[in-house]
Amino acid sequence: MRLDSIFPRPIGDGGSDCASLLTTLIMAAHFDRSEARALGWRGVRPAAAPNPCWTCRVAGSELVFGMRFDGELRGGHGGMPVLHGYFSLYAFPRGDSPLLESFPLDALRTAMDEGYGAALREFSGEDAFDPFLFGRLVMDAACDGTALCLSLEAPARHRVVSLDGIADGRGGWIVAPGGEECSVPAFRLFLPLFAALAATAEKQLGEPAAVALSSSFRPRMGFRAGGGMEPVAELRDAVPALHAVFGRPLSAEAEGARPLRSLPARHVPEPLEGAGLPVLHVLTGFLGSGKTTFLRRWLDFLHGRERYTGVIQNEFGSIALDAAMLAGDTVVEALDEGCVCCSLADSLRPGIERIVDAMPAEQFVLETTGVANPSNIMAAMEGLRDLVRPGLVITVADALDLSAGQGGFPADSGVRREQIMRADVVILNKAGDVPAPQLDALAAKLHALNPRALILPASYGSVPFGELDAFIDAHGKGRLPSRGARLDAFGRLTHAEEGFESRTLFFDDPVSEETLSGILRDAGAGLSRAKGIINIENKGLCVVQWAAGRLEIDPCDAEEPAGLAVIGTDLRIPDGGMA
Amino acid sequence: MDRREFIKGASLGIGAGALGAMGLYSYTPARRAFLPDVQRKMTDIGMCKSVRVTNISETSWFDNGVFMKNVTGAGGLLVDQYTYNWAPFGNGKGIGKGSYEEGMKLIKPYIQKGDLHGAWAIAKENSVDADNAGGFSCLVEIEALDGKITKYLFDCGWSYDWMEESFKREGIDRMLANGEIDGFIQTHEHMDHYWGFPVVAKYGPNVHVYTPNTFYPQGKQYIKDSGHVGEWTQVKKGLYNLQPGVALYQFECPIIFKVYGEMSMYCNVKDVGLVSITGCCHQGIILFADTAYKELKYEKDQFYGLYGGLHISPFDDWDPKYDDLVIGLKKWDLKRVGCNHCTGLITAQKFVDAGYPVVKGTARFRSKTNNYLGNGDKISFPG
Repeated sequence: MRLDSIFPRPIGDGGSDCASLLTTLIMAAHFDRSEARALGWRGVRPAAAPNPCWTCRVAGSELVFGMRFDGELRGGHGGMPVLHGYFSLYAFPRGDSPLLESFPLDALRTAMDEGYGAALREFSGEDAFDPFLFGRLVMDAACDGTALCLSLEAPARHRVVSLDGIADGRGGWIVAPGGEECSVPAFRLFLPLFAALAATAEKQLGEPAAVALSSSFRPRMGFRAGGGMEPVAELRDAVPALHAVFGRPLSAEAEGARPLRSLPARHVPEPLEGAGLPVLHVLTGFLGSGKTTFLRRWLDFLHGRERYTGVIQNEFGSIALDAAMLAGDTVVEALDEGCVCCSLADSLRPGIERIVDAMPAEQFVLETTGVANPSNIMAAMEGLRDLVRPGLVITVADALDLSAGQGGFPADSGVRREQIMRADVVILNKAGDVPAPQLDALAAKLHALNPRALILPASYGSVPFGELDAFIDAHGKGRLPSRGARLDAFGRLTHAEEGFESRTLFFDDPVSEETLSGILRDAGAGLSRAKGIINIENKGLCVVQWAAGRLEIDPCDAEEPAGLAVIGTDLRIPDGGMA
Repeated sequence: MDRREFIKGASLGIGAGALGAMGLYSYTPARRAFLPDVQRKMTDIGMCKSVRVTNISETSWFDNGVFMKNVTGAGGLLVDQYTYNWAPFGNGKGIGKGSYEEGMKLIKPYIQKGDLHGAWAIAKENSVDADNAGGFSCLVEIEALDGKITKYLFDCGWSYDWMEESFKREGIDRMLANGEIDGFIQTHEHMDHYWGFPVVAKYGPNVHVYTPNTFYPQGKQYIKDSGHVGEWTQVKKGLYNLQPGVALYQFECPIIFKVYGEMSMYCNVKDVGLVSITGCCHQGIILFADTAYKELKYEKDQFYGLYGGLHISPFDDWDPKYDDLVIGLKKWDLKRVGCNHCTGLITAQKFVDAGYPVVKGTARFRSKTNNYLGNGDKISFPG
């Protein structure tokens, strides 16, 4: 283990070398963004000296974490000089999180303030955030660079007793005398943060950590109504400490700790997240909506972060990208003429193969023609799983056009409607040119059409691009609107099904799952398949599919019920409602 | 009554002070008592009268596609820059298989003779895409309150041929030879900012060199191998005062291509505000601005101007709403921006679209757009 490979100067004379080391670990992990994500990072914000601070999010936790470098001391272990760096750890729930009920009342008070979010963004370890401080990170670094040890120290439960109680002002108690004013599962809350830090150190130092757990106790503290803290007789709280050791232990605690087989709460990336396959996003949009402008902005965002992105355009003649602006910044692969969604299997695969070969990028954007139907593209992407992972379907819509007059809204064309309904993200471009009330109304309309899509107003194609990443994180893996349950070819039976009889049932009122099961059970042994979109009690519109005795009901974003088609021989379907 | 209602009632109805009367005590955790308290400092670096920057070259390389091919061919952004087999450290073994020592051995005889064109020609034969190399370098002229002008050369580019040509165009060769350059500031060790150093040493072997103290061994050796014999200050992290109103700030951070640490320059201009000059700003422009705000005293509390490459944050923001350079820079209300180099052509366009005070350039000498303050262009603060 050599620290000088990541930190090319002697350790121990800087006064804040441990802060520099922490910066080094986290920042170097972010050169490869997908790697940072695989390690568990979900955004970091550093704040300036003299007590350097960081706020961050990590996978597996809803919290925003704060870290504040408190200082470092030069000491020794085993006869060798060691630097001990100390960082305060803060846990910040969202203002509406139920977790806050177990936090100190002062923390709740801070979190309920409307300035909480803004203040948290500017976090630089100020005292006002002390009620959220429940743990400590210790960094021990051997001054000769041959060992590093990270330790998380936090009480299993951070409890503080209100010795005199807290009155609710109506004769009752918010906290009864001698009761716990707070009880925060601090150690557990900080585990995902520590796991990300330790996994990052493993990656940067190129060796696995030896993980070990030790424990100590501290007296439980109570406070008096008049102020002042005192230990509560005979009550103690356990303070576990988790150590990640590289090289050799650098403290007595780490040395005597009980070895663990693995790092608790380590983020395990989705199989595909770590597989290294590039993501393919699909960009759709009406002609003239500003699709290309948006793409240019997005590419700039991505390339500014060294996230090199290739572009696949499906019609050479339609390239509106300014060659001087884009050429050289990325590789543009033009697909042959014709619409990508119609002859997708033929043209997309070789196109993707060519661009993957030419440019080993993290992701690609498929810019489709204005008339492409995203449903068809998504279906075809399933056959490209060996080459790319499906990303977002992004539709750029022209706010000016959509809000102008009656005819503008996409009732006119199935494809335009599909582009909005199948979008994960709708970029409502030219938003600045539309008066606010009209824009709100338009956004509401789009929301009604596609309730799960992220709708981002934009001017000149500029949106907060980080929201796209956040959206895919929050809604990926099947919950994106573009992957929603849907019947693509409802009602169109294939020749293979000839000879079977087909009936369609319509229901005026929501149907319970029990009723539906009953109808299908009673249909008899000849029942072969059933599928449809019907209103299910307590669930709303759902895609219903029945095959081989198995009934599946998935909520969908269809606009109206389409009945239930029942296919089979000698069907016993109740009278009425049959088509 | 639940805890939220209690807080709401107490803060709205009877004031926060009443919480104490009800028995709540704002206790603080016992911590840090054994650590020396770090005082928040607002360092006064003094003042200067004006700052003028001449862009000698901002075109690090001329074709991004070729550059990207080199990067991916050698194994990506994390590979040590000295092993890419980029000029001048080519050894003829192909992409990703270079080394400083082998490359230097081939060119050193030419450097020692002052034949940099010859050195680059040899390097060209033994390296990949040497013609793609350009470089980043600018001249910073500080006017002190008494009117005296001090000149600093800020980075020295990459290609010997391109930098000699560019230095001659702006008269830098003459200034170095005449001892008019008071200091040479090497912001960081990246090839496009640093590998042209023999051109500096050729004309000004005695010039006072400032680098971060975090150069890797090859980078330190290069100063000596280039024939520099003058003073060399290795700047530690944090503030380093150069003269009244002018300071360097070294940010300790890892940078792609295995480089560590970057210095930027802060100037406090009387009656105007803070002007900063960056090479690439790998620490991230937001942190950079934040640091100035928290560490320096400057005129009118106004972050007035910015020149150089504006790298965005190396991190994604945990609140994606803010993950955008234009949004992030808004709060500083900058009055004069000259951007180029690694800023990104489209980001520059975005600044212009968003109504930022971008000082336009002339797109000469192979600079690509007039949204960039391009090669040969000048910018003054105040404008």
